[in-house]
Amino acid sequence: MLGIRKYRLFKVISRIFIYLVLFIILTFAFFPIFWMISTSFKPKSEAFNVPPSWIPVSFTLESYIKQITDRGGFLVFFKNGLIVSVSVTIVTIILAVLAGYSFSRFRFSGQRAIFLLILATQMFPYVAIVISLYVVFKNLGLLNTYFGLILALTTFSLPFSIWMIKGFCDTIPKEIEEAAYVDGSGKMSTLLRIVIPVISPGIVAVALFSFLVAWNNLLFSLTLSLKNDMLTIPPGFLMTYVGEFQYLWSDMCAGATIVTLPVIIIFIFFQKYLVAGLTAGSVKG
Amino acid sequence: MINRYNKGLSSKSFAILLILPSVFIISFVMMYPLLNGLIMSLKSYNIIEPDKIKFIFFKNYEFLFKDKIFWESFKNTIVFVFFSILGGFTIGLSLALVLNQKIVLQRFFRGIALTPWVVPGVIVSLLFLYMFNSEVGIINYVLKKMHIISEFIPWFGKSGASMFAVIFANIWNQFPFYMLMFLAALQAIPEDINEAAMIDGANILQKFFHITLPYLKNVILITTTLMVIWNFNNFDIIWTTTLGGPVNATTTFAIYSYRTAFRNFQLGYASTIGVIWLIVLLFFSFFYIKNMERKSVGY
Repeated sequence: MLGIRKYRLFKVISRIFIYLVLFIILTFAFFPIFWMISTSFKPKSEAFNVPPSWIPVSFTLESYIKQITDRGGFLVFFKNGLIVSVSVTIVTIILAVLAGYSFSRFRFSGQRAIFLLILATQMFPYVAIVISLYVVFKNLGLLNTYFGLILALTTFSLPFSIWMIKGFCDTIPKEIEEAAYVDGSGKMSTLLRIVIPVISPGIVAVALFSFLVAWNNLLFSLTLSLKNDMLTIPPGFLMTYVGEFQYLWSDMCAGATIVTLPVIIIFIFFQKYLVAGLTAGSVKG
Repeated sequence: MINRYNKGLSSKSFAILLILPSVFIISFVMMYPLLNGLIMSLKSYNIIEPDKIKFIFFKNYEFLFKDKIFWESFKNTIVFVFFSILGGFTIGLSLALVLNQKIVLQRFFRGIALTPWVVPGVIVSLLFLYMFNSEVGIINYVLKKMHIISEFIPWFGKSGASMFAVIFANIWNQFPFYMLMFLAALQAIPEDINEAAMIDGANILQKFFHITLPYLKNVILITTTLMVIWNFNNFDIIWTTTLGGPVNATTTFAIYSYRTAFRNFQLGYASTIGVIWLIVLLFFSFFYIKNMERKSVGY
């Protein structure tokens, strides 16, 4: 057995080690975000300083004002991103709740195959899908439309969302619905009035997940929207800061801060729901 | 049973009705394009010469196997996926283990550690383009100060370095996901098992290998398989930082097929790359679906 002294020493050392690992990883995690925020308040030339200034020497809001006054189309990208992401979120929630509930509660032949096929779409090579989809959308006149992009991104976030909702529905006891049925409630109204309130954490998880997918996705919006005034934020930023306004680091960081910070804050606020959704089914056992 | 009390639609019709909208759009946006892609891979399909589109059957595949860039992209895909996962996994697991201890401000630290994951890939790329920049990049500056490098390196522009830089940015973006999954699993380990092990005099390593790891086995399997699939599909970071370059040093399947389709307009050949990519992924997916199904369907 360890002596009590030795044990205490061991405890202290392991504490120091734990905080050291924590410090290193958190620096790694947070530094780029710190650098983004710091640079966003620097005048454009200060972003080129070597050695760099850790915090802005001459603090300015110039880059933010440029973004808000729509230099380089920022407001257009932001508006498009918001329209597309909010629509994707709403449609995904509706479809995922209906399908996830159905997969959790009912049985019919072929159901298992359909569920597996839906899960399997997550393994599809998305670039290959988007090539085909480009041809289909071109023929149907869906390129450069909100509808087309919303349709594509909803489908993209749907399989995982259905899986999450199914996981949440699996955790609620059947008795809750049976009681409603005994009281003469129909199937649809039971779903709407009884089940949805119970699985609301799952709905929050789906909302966060699908919003993030739509807000962050580059591939689909780059390919399916070709006109500048239809771009969402990722392709818009790509066009702006890898193209025309390359090396305008302060502007880029200000834009990046505006689009990232609200998402980070919302995410931190609601993270426990997303964690519950992501880990539903995969953790237990 | 639910059925007995019900009026209106039968359970079966109701169940089918509920999944119908999802099945419909998934068929239209995923299934149909996939099948169409299979057919396109058998065609000579140049989008700027629509009148010359014709079936050439397996010619694209013959050409593919002789295509040096294809094999290079194959190798790059494996390297990119493997090291991204190795890095993300290691950092994510270490952090999860640390955050599972009783430490001050645990929730706050977890919040900070999660943030890289919600930053859009394009913005991750732009930030790392700036930090790795060959003239003003802070990473170059710090490394030079620490005498690790002797002069600034154009990380994304140099063949040997670009793959490293791309993977580095990718790991930064993804490691929180591993942490999130592992931490959730760690917190599900019953406290009394740990206590029992302590009483029996198990040391930290014994506890890790005989209790923690077995408990994490499932979540590790699911998380890594998921990440293999997601990283095969990783397009945003490579496309924004290097476009697959310099030359083809960071060209993966995703980049090569995108470039073939939308820069060279060879949609048929690009689909062929997609088909091979799908076959490689199916191998992994097999394990993934089996696991996910067992965890969640409960038949």
